[in-house]
Amino acid sequence: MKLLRHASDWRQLFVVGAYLTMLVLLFAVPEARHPALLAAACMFSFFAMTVNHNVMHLGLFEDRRLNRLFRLVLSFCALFPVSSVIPSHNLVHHHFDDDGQPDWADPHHARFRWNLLNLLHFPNIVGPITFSHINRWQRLTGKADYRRQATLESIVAFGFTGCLLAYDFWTTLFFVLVPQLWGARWFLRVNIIQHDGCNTASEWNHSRNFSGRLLNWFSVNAGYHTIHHNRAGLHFSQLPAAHQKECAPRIHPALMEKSLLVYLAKTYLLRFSRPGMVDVGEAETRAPTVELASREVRRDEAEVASAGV
Amino acid sequence: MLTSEVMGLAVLAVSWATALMVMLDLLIDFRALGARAKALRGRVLQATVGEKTLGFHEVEQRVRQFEVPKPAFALFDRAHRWSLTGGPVTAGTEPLEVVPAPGAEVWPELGAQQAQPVDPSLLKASAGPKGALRVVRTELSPGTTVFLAGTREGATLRTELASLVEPLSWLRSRRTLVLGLIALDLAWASAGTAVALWPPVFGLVSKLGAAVLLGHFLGITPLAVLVREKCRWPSLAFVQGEKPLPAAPPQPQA
Repeated sequence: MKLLRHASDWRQLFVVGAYLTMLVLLFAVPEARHPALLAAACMFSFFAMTVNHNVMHLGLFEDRRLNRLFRLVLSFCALFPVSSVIPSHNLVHHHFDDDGQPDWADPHHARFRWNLLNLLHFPNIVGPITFSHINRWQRLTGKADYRRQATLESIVAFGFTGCLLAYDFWTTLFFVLVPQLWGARWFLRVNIIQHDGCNTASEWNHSRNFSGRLLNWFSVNAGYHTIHHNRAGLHFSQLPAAHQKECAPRIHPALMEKSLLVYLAKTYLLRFSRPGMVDVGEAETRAPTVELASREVRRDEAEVASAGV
Repeated sequence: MLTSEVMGLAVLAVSWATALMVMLDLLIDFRALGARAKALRGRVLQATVGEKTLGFHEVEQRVRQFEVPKPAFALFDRAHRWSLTGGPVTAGTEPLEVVPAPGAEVWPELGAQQAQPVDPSLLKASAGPKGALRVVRTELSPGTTVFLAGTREGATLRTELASLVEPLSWLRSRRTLVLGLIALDLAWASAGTAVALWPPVFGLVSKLGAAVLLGHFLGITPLAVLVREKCRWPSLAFVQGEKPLPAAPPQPQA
């Protein structure tokens, strides 16, 4: 019997394994506490969250119990119950609203004139908004199975981190909590990076894409965001080809970036104000239409699919 | 190598950056509330609506039924809309004709909106997966006391705001709330910093200070979001919540 659903899923395991190895080194080996290793751990914490994002859409393992176990590991990686990504991301964010209410992680929750502050403060706003909605969703609609899994994830994430704090407070604070919170907070920031200035009413110009090969290798193709929104069931390894085929002809050039770092620098460091809106949606009118189910249908499909993850 | 001192300073800087960003974000609300209060000061008059409904405010909601923890209607806001149509009012003993100014706003009273019961006829429709739709409607009906702000032109009041809550008091209470949270934010971060730097640094007391700062980092932002939502204009306030299902009608005796 196969362990993983796709051969390329070893990459996802590698990313999480590398991150945990770095955490162990930082925690247990004082000589390893170099700025470069801490920076790498922070980056891999974010990459582990992109893995988390993928496995919430498509389980990594053939065995459902292993998938549930892997979620416990991921919950420790970023210090939150990762199953909460199902309501917040799969069921709401993918359709950009919750029945008339804006997406819980809508970029417009950030409202500073200095755009750098929007990027920095964004998780401080959408984190609490998202979790208050998740709690309501969980209380009202969350099935017993979901609630049990989310509770287990909380116990593992907070329990294990709490034990580490009790064992060695300062080392855990500096070399475990910092990477954990870094990953979780950049995972939230992806929402403003990939959707600010986009037209969420459009079917092909609702997201910003990043095509850099290095970033996409480590972030398991998180850069190809438009195609992921529209075809959420595609495995990460299929995203670049599907992007080329369906999205590239329909995406406004302003939403196709090569490098994430260059984009961050030019949008948040080298300018003061938030960039104005561009009519990005007109780009898709130039290419022939592609068959795509309505958002309502896709939302229903996501609801069904999430039960099986 | 990263020493505890270097990491301690870095973590302290992040804590303070968060505290300051929370403060700056709250100041956006504080300034908006202040600007609104300044625009309204000296221009609000209390009146009684005459024989014609002056306007309305509606919140469209989706109603769904849930079993957890006990059977209840769950209400989800979908859209807010309002219209000030105008009509006669009496301010003290003086009759006035209200004429809506462009973009005139209607502020309902949140408590009254939340108290509106769900129509029992929605019981069946709301049990389905898509639920049912309902409208929470507030009318500025004849005999109602309203607070009006606008420009007098003889016996006509070109009205920008018609409110069921006293707008200046509402604005004052929200500004106080914002200021209170800013004070709490800065006091919490300052206290944590002082205790964290208590000699010997990295000792037991210092550890408690770091825990206070961690609590601030994780705890101040939900409070700030709560206050932000409390500061939404009453015309856009969230009404949603849950309501118990109506009691089943008594079964007829055989």
